[in-house]
Amino acid sequence: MEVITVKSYNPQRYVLVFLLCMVVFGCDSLVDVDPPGTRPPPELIFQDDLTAVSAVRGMYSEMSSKPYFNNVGISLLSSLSADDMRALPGLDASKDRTPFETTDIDPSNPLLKEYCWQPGYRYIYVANSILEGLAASTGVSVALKNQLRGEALFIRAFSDFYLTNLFGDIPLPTSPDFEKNLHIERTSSAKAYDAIVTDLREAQELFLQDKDSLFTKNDFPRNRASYWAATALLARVYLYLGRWMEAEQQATTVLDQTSLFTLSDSLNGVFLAESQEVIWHLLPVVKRTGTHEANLYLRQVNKKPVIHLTASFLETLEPGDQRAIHWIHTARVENTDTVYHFPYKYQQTEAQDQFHVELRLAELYLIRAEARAHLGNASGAIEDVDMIRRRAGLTSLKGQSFTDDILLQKIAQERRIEFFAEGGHRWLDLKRTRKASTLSLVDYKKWEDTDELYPVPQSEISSNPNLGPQNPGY
Amino acid sequence: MLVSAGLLLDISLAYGQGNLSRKNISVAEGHMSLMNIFREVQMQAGFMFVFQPTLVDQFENLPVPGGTHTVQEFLEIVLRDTPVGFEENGRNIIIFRRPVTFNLRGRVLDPETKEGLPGVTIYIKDSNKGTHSEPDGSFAITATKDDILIFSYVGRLTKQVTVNEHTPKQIMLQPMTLPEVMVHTGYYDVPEPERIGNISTVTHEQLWRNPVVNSLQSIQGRLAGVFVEQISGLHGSGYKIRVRGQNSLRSEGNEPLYIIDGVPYPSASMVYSTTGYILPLSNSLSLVPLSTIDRIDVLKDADATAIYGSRGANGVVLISTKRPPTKSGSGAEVNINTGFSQVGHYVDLLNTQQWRIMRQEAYKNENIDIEDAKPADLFHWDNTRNTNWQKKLIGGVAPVTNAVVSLYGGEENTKFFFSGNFYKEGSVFPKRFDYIRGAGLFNMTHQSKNNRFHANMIFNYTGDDNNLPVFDITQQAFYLAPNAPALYDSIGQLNWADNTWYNPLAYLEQTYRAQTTNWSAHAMMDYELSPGLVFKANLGQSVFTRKETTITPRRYHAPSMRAYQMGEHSESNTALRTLIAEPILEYGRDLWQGKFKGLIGSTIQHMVQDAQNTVGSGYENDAFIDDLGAAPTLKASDPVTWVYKYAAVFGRLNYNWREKYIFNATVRRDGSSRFGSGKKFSNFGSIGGAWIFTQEPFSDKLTFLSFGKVRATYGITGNDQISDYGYYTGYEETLPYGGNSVTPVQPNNASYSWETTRKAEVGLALGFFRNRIQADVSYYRNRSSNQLLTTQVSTVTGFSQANLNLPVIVQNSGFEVLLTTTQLDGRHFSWITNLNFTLPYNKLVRYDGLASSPDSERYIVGESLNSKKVYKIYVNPQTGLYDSADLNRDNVKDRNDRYIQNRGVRYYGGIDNTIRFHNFQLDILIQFVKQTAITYEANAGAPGLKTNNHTPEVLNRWRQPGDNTNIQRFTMGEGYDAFVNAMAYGDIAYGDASYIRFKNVSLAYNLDTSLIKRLALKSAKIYIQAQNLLTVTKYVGVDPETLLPSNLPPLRTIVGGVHLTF
Repeated sequence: MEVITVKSYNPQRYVLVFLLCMVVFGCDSLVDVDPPGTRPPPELIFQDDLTAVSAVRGMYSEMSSKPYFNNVGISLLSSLSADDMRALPGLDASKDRTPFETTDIDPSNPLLKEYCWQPGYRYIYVANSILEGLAASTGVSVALKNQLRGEALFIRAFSDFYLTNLFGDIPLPTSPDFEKNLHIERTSSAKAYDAIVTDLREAQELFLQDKDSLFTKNDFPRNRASYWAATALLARVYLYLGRWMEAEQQATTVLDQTSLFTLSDSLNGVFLAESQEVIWHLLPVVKRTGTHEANLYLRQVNKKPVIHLTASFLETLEPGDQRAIHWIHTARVENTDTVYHFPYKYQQTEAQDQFHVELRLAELYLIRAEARAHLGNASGAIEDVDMIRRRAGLTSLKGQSFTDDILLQKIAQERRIEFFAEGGHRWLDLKRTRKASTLSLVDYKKWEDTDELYPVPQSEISSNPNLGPQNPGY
Repeated sequence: MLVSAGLLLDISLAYGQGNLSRKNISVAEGHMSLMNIFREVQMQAGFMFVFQPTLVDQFENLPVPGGTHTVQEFLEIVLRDTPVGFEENGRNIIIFRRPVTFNLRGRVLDPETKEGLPGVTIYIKDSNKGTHSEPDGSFAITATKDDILIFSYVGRLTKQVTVNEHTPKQIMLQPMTLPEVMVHTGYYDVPEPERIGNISTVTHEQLWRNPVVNSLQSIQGRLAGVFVEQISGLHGSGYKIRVRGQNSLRSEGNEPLYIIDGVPYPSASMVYSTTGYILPLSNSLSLVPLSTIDRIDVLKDADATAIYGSRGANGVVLISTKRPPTKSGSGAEVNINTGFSQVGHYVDLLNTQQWRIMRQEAYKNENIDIEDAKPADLFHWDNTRNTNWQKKLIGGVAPVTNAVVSLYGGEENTKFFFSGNFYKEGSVFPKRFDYIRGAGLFNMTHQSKNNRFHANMIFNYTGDDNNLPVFDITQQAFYLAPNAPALYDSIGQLNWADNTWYNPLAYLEQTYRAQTTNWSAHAMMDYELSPGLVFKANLGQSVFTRKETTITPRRYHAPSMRAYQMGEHSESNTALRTLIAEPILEYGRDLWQGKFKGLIGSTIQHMVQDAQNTVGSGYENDAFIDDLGAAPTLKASDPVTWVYKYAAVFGRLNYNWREKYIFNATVRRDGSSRFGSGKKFSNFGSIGGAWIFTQEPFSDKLTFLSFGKVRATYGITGNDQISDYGYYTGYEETLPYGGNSVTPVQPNNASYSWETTRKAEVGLALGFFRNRIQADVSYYRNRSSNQLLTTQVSTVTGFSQANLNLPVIVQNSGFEVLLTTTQLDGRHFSWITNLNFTLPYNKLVRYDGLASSPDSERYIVGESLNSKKVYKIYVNPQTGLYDSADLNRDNVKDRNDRYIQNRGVRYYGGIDNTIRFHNFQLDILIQFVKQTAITYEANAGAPGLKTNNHTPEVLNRWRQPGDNTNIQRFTMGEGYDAFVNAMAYGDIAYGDASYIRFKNVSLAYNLDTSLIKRLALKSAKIYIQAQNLLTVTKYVGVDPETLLPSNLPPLRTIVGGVHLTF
């Protein structure tokens, strides 16, 4: 091979050209890579309506797929911490559950993080990601954007609500920013409630932008957050805050929608997929699997249910209460007189005709009843309580007169029975009504006032020291 | 000419000798041409002349004596003053060029002192003639013109001199500071004495002696600071290679950078495929046949690795394939060997009688009624059977065949080298599983006539076909009871013994096949722009594809399960494309009485990986299982594409003042696509210096010291061995919630960046007694900080773990010693020993927040990463179960009773002896490793269970209260937890696993020169080579290197072959 030689050359020129090449090539673009096709970036997800909706569906999918947080996790553990349920001793599965009965929880108890803390923050993260994605999006239609933002705000408020009720002062992430959240500090419980109210109010407004869809019965998506879900949750939040007027008002907004919501006539119909009592429920996503509740409460080891209802709970049931028959099941240990009672609201471990219910109309009757009792409207309160009592086959309270305290006790009792093994109501009710200390009367408890709050999972504080100090008593 | 001479030889036997003296010739005195003289003789005496016309034609006018002479006399007179000789051969007279002899006299001198060197071996190449120099260095020898005279002396470079009129009278022998040995550092070469960085090299001289598939196996035991461990004896399986210890807490973040002919190769951890669990750490380096490798250089310290910057933190392994020889001319090489591989050693295990004692006692100890349980091994199986399952299942002989043909040629400006390679290896399992590899290498060099342009083009192709069972049945050889049923029943079918066992041969029905091809093309070009200024470009691409097929037929399942199990066929395809471009500008000139060299350059590298997997399932009939399309159910995974980009600019300065003081500095800026925006780039660099103090006047008095150098280097390198796209958030499909649903899978985390390793090193190189003894000692200290880990993070972020740089510092320090001694260096007998020794220390210097991290039980600050806090375990004489000792004697057994057990490698090295005696050459490489590792029994489970056979050591178990022993009682249940806890948290799981291994023994015989010449060969040798010939160890178990009884141990391979050069 003959090489053409350069006749005249100037070394400096070559060096210059070479350096120029390096400067041109030596920039960031040389090490920038396109995202992998199987994992589209947020910009791509929120560029049109179809994929934006799939991101929101993904949020519910995560909430539905595992027995965490809202789904059985909190309702189980808080029922143990209250006085409704106990875990069968001696089981491997009970090892981490039993400490919740005496609120003597080791901060490194895995259930604390797995069931109560981590999933809540996961949902908040997903919601924040959706909010950020939608804010930057230009391709999603305005109407859909409003609805999806409403749903994300609702899920964030819903998660914050449970987290602050369980842990008190909590970190309150409002963006998916990893580095910020890595070192985030805790916010007071009061501020958390402010944020919850703000989120829910904004969600309501966003849902109201498209009034038509609110009332079209056929399209009403009970498996997604809606104006009604936001209103129902807001009613609950106002009740917790003692803002009775607003609680009554929000509850009434929902209760007035008789064309959309009616109490199920039969107790067995309450949790069915097509129940008209439901304001918000979750679709099952795991194939051939019933609700997580059914799969937990119906599980038995040697004919003993792994979780059973306490004697004190069973004692408070009034004679003739149909809920004792339809929502509670028993298991008799072979060759003994020992009988265990366990929750039977959800009855299918494989079939999917029942959906996990988060918000239902019964709660709004009892919210309004309680708010009315505080506002001095005893007859209105009794009217609402009777709605629930009547369905349970109990006598009406109408015509009887109660002191305010007794009336509130009656309402609390009704809440305890109606919502056992649901949504952590009993534990949260005891705490918000300052009655948690009555748990000291329960024989197996070692009550201390600091037990009202769960400890922050230990690994969270070690990963982010800003989450310290630990809640008192742990 | 040669052939016709042979024919003539036969005729002469019939004709007889001595005719030249009998026949006479007479001519008139005068002058004649030689040709006419021959004619005259032919006419008068009837002899025929055989000659080369070119020799004869030049004598046109020779004086001729008058009168009558015998032909003999006549020719002697005529040819006396010419270089022409003659020889009678029957009726023919053969004319040839007569050798010219010289009586040489001279002296052999030291070039510096000009003193004579006594005892220098002086001999004529390819002959038996030779002598030694006198005490004053003088010598005398008679040699023929154009002979090659060889001067050889220990510690001096051998010198060759051609004999002719100009042969010098004074022969200078340079001291052997190995100036001609060039060290390859990747971007530039330096002479060995001027080397500043720490580089270990293995050349093809050593490599070719290893009958192995993977080139990494051939460097085992040869290099200081480089620890290579074989993971499994399966062909194609991987190696764990650590250059100067574990730097990163991420176990997959410790791979060195592999560069083959300038193109980076993926290390084991970066290849995505199903290979992982069948062939752990499978390494693509088995695709570079050993026979095509010219040398392997391992760069270790800051100075050597800095030029590779970011990717060099864990060392750099440079593999250079063979090139055309520098001299013109052509030649060929053939190397063929064949032999076998087998398991070198069986573990002594319980026989049936001992097994039964163990099992019955275990039942008794647990108070389980044996009649009730009726275990198969005691009740159903034939108690007269006693099978050595190791022999049955892994006792086969695997044939090995290796053939290499190389060809080179070309003229001054264009040369080529071609090599073809074939390799085949069987398996030791009782079913055929072959590994076949074919490879071709083509290397061409070209330079322009004016020598300003050089090009080197390399094309490399390898294809291999690896067949293996998915499940390594080595494990079964240690699991099965000695009286387990026969493999085949009376009619030759697999014996299932009424479903009382799983026939181990059924495992072999599930097969794995990997077909890999590797193409690479690489061009290195340089052009001298002006004197001293050279522009270079390295351009290369390699494409690596692998198709893996896993087949699970129904017959793989036990007959009782076949009704529920269908066949499965899984196929995955992986492709990896690497592209590299490196423009470099070099400048060199003399400066201040020294030599200055500078270099600036840039690297652009792209690596794209594609992977896709398809699974066909539901095959009812095994006959269709090879056809993926016939699968009743087909499922395709998401195709994955990973892109890695890397870019860098770098510069290097080198100044060498009179070969006495040498200074190096390297700076570079590196970017990697594995980091988020703003974190992609980082700066690295190194400085180093060396002082060759034997160049100083003062060292002249130290006559025993022939060479001395001190050197020191310091620098910072980086590590980006973490997953691609780790910083980048994206959405992935999740369970559908009333329609397609997606969810974010990774935090948008741009917070992490390069892991950095600071390397410091000092070294001393010495040569004694004219370099008869050479020693090189280095001390290094590497500190890796800013550790890049996938670690637990607060879940408030939405994730439980993420990549972060942690303030953790891991230190690796140690001593490396190299010693080369030449005991004998005679003409017929020489003996050279090379020793390498490494004493490594590993220490976790800092780990903030260790106590609250998930690593709290794994690491101890201030200790080696391999150290663990363990309980002292003993067998409680009362219960007969393992128990932990109250070490601190506070009467409470708690975590404070633990002590620190050091595990892992304490030191290692190798001794390589090369002994040459006449035509024989013997090489013995002995590898030694001092280490503490997991014992066989710790892996075998609690003695008493049916699941594992044990060493007879367990018979020394506790039997009754009061027994003092170190083996707990045989157990079926209760004692199982005690055993598991003792092994997991106690000290007895680990024991001495040190070994000395005859890694490589090679004996070669070089055929005699005369014989070779008749065969038209340049050289020929026959040889026997053995790998892993013998292992000396106190370790009781499968193998102290692979340790686990689930892995086939490294095999012993013995081959015999011939090596011919033409």
